[in-house]
Amino acid sequence: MDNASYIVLSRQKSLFTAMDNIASNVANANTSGFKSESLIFQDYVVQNLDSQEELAFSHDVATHTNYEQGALISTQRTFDVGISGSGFFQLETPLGVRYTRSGNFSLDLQGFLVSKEGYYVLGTTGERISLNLDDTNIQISSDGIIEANEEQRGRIGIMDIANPQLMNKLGTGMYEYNDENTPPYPGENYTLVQGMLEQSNVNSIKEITRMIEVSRAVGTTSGFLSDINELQKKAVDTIASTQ
Amino acid sequence: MMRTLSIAATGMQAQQLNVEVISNNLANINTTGFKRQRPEFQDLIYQNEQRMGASSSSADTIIPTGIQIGLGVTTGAIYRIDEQGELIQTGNTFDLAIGGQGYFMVELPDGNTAYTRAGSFQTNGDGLIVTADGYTVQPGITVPNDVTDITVNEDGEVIVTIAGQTATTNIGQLDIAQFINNAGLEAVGGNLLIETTASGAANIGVANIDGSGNILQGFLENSNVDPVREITSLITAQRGYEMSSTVIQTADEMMQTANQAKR
Repeated sequence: MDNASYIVLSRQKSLFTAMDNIASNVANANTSGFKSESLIFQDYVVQNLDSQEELAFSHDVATHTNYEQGALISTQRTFDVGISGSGFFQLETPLGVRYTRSGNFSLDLQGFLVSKEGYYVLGTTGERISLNLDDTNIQISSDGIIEANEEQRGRIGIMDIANPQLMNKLGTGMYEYNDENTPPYPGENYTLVQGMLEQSNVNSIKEITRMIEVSRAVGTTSGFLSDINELQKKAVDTIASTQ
Repeated sequence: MMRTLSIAATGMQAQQLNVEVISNNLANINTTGFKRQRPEFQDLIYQNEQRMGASSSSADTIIPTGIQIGLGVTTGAIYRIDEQGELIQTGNTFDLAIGGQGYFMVELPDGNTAYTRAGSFQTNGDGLIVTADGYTVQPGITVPNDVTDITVNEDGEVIVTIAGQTATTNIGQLDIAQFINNAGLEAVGGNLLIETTASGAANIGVANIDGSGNILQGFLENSNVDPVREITSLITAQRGYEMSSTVIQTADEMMQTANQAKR
């Protein structure tokens, strides 16, 4: 008898997690380089010892990140770089290399190319990229080569990851990746665009539709809980009255 | 569940800030030397409900992706975009525009130096070249009383013809400051910027040398705010705000539904 309400409860708990996930996507609808996420649910099957029946609980097992390309918007800023295609910028942080799709860079006091948090942007061989203090006419080519007054200053390294689902999201647009079996490799299928930033790939219509779905499902599960409650109440009443 | 409400609230706060920045840009659409700003948002930290790489059984099978719930959005930076503004011809002698990199240097009343792209200068009672607020433009050039013609050339040299003379006289050259990180300058209002540790120390030179721009006399640099771009951002911001607000409403309804499960 109780199993029914616990199964419904497992579903309802998953639905509330799904709602958190939708809220996070919607909140990041304007975050550059943000990739939308969704939850994957699975049934968690339990054999009931008494009746041999199988019970399937709902269980959220994983977050799936949608790495689809976000729209590029023009900012006209020299050090805004958007990635069109697959791959990530590499940042040197005190805790190791981190990856990001958010290409909002600037120069630090020594002339190094840094992210908005002040982490060094790394080149193709993992080196920092430095420019001269009086450089003008800075051009970043589609393969990441930075030229100032037609002299090469470095090349932005783009790394690709075979299965980006394995990346750990750290917030502030940064990802961590430590899997040694399939190390990151230099990206090939990308084009860099100077003066543009990649927007979030959150699809608002999809999110609102998912939200309606989740909200309705909560209504249905609550209905179930209510029915189960009625049923139990009736059972108790009937047993009590026969005595 | 309360998580949804706070996540959606961060979304609304971010869009509110976005609208504030846009309204400041639009308010300054005709401000000489104004550079438009843009807020940069980033995702907040993640809550790991189940870490990727955790083992799912005793046979060393690992969970490939885990469950990560993002906790909303935060503002990473609001940065100035130093794109050149359009140059407007005014014909005024001391209206100067910089075409390219660099800032005019202005001495503040407290003795500190501020930097500006707004070159609408005048001469004061003593003939000194000053800003609209009366602050001295560095290095402090005094124009004699009896001049008939004043020219500021591309390099920022002020050349005058003194009445009764045929030869011209060079009475000084304007300082131009450059910074390694222009975005690090702090705006203090009145079209002025001051240096910070992020911008680095000013690299003082003159126009047309070491990458600094040239000076155009009789022109002013208008703001680089593009109304079409701002209105588009405004629409995006408003829709984002509406969506986060819808999420809050829905979350509220969901909690209500859950509460009504027991009648």
